[in-house]
Amino acid sequence: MNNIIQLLIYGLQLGSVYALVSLGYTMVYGIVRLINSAHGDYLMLGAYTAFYVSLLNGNNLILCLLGAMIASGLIAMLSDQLAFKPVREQPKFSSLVTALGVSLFIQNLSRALPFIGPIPKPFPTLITKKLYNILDITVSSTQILMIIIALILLFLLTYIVNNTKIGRAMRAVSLDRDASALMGVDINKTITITFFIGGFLAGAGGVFYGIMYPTIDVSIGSLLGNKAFIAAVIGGIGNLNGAMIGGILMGVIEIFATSINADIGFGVFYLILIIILIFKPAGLFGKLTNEKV
Amino acid sequence: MMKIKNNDTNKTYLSYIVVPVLFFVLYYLIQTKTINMYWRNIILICGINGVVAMSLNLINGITGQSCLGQAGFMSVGAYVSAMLTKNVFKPYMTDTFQTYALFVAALIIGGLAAGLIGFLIGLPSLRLRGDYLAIITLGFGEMIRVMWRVVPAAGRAKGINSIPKVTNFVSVYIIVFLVMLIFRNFTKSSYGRSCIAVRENELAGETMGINTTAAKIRAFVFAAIVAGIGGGLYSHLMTFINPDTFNSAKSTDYVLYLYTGGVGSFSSALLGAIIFTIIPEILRFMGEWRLVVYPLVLILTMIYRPKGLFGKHEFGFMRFGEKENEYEKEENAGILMLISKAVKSLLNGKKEKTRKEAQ
Amino acid sequence: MKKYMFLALVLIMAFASVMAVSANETLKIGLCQPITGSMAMSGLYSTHGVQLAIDQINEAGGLQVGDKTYDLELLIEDNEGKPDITINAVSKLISDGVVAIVGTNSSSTSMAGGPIATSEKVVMVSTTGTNPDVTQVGGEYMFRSCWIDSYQGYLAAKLAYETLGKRRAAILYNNADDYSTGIMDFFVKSFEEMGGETFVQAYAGAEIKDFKAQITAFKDWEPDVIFIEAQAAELPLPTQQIRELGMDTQIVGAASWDNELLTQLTPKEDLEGIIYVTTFCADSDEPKAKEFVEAYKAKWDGELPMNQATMSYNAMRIIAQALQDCGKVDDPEAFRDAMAAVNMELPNGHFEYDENRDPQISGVLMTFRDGVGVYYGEIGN
Repeated sequence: MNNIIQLLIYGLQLGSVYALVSLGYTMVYGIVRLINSAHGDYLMLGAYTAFYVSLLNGNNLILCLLGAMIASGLIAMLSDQLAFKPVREQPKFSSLVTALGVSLFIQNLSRALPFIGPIPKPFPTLITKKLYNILDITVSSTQILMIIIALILLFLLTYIVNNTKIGRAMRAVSLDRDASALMGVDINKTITITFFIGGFLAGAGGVFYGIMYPTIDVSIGSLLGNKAFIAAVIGGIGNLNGAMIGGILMGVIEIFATSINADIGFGVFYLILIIILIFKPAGLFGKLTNEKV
Repeated sequence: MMKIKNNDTNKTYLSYIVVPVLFFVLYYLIQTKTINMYWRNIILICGINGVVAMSLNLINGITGQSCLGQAGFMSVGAYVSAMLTKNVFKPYMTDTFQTYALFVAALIIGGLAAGLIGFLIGLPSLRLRGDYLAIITLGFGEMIRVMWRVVPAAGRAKGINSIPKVTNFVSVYIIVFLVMLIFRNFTKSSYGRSCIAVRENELAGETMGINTTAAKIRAFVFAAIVAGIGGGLYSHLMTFINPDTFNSAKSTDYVLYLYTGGVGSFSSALLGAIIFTIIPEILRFMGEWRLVVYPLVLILTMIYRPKGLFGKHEFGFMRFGEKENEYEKEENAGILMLISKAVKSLLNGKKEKTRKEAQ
Repeated sequence: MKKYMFLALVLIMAFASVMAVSANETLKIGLCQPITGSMAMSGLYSTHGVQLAIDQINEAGGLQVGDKTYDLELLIEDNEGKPDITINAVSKLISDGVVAIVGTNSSSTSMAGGPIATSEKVVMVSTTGTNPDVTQVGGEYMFRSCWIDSYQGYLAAKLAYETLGKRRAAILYNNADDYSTGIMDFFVKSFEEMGGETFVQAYAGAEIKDFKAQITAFKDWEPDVIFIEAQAAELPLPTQQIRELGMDTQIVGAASWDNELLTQLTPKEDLEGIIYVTTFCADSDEPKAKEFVEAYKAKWDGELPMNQATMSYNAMRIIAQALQDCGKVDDPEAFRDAMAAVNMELPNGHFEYDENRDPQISGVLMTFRDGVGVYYGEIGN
């Protein structure tokens, strides 16, 4: 029993990283209908930014977090302007291919750049780890902090989307782009801001990732991005709460599946995705839109 | 310029000559070792990648579904045929005829096994579409990879080695050509047309009495069989395969080949695979920067030529020798069209100049 | 056009400068290692090792083969750590006319490249392709400068069972990596034959970063020793997480732990006391070893030679020795036979191939003290 609770806590911690990344994923998808495979690479760049910020300014969590979030946000915006904007009016799959290209480009460029390089780097210790023992269950300060910050960001995001002008614009664009353009919403500005927020969250995800798994390399983003996308799909893509719950669910499932059979734990991840999608094609909380002829 | 020509009388047989001539020229160059081992290998990989990219075109281009798990199909074909030749057929592979007969048998069995998996992966396509289907096929592909890691008969992480090296230029060339012919006939048949109906408008197709369910499943199974054959060729060329050879990055590669070549056309898929297999090899002198230039070329292609480098053009024999009319040429907008246009305008300009000078 | 003229000029100048320095003919040696990708660190160390050997030979006036003296030239091709790219890279090197190839660093890529080298009769020496099958699959032109997993796994089991006196071993391995899977099999087999109990947990690939489920299972089983062996870049995270979850069980490992990357990526206190078995210890007092360590440190800014660098240096030295022994550069069969018969002294001791073209290399135990790998003891058969 203790073990189950312990595993649950590990799952929550892993899930909170997935959730942070999938929040950004889901926002971008909701508005431009683009599986942005480069999203994980924004996370990677965020982690590297934090690494260099801490090298210059010492181990300051807030500073590293801000640096990483802003850098990732800007890179997300830049990639939107340079690569995704020109193909926005093209058929859907060509923007997916562009996203795959951007992801490859960011990763390979980072490998070729001397200050990132192919060799893994140690992530600085931004939080001193404290272990709390409650009834044989170990909880660390990072785990608690991580889950709390993920929740704060979720509430912040929900507030922005539901109660601000730009949030209303986002919702309008995601519902019907042409109609909202007619109503005077600046589509390009809205999309740019969405990309920024998505990258912003990915940057935070990068820092948390670094704190949890303090070895960063160029490829950390691609798999995490992939899993985060699956989490977003399971939650019902385009739905913020869905992405959060999907992320946490996937973290918990991954830990439990690994503990039952470590050999195929990873495959179980995909199996669950397939089962959920077959029975609920729009994800757990998504709405299925009817096809129009 | 926009005059539509009569199709029936104008037939071009150019590619009926090009196909055998290209074969004999390449064969001669390889036999005389003018093309060294390194480039021979690359030519073979180009052909294999072309086969898999074409099979992907059947799902993504012709039927309009989205599949990101082609490497999964490929791995099934590669593993099954390699296990057959290595463990069962090897003692009987004594002379040339038997070797190739058994190799073809192994390829076909591998392809059929992949087809079975294709059927399973095709099933969700009945309920899902677009990005959801893409992510599911990606998931299936990864599950197949994880499965190979734990199957003892498949050598687990070590994979299968010492596979007989029987894939050669002749077999790859013939299979590429056969696959193109089969796909051509399939696309022009009523089965193929029902696939196109699914792509254009599934609901409308259904109301017209087309069995869209069958069309979709058929496309997945058929594409998986061909990808499995491509995988069989691959394993018998590499002589060594392991599960991580067929990871999601490999599936992504095929998507990139297809879309940069030109989705919807088998010829463009083949050309895309050839060009984007060769580019990283040509750029080898750039060291690690070659891997930066490669995706850059992809992005620029998507921005400036969203229909792919070669558009929807098909080779002459893929159109049953029918000439494309001018309207189709404009619509398909391949890079060849662009070049010929540029050349034409250049020539015309010169003509006008000379005319002016004459005046 | 200007560009080509410039290029031609540069080429002529480069050629002229080579001609001016020495009148020796050049002999091309290929190096096929991951220069990019996740294993790039190994490629870097390997390049350092081979380059040092080549520079030493060239500075000494070139390599005397028969009655001619040759300068060695190193051609490097990247295999990205992938089997399919290895095939292209090895083919390219062979097409460029190398006499021998050093590489690759992993068993799977060696097994992909080896058959090509054999079919074209070019000697290939794997630096750390330790799977026993590498030389079998690669064919008779495939050699290696390292030991094999069955021996390495046996030594690691012996370290745990005899040297440390442990009886219950938990093993963590990567089931997507043939090296990790192979050595796990041999460790488990040897450890159980010695009379110990084992408990095996896998993780699915290098991309897995969270080992808490596996470690929780370890905690329940209560092992007295944990054996972890995978590619070097994958080792820091499980080590840190084992300590983070409050387990202070002795960790043992094998040659992958001998990598500077680990000391950079793992906090000192987590590494403290981990014991591993490897092929070469930079603290060694042997004159040959000392000479090598000094030369290596001088050439590469004080970097210490570790397993990969030493094995690559050795591979190059073995090739040079075999070329000298056979006395011809254009007779691949004689060269191959000379390789198989090579009998020489290397920094880590006497070197000789057995009938399977596998060398006998003695192991040395090392441990981490204050974040640095230091000599711990000897281990024999």
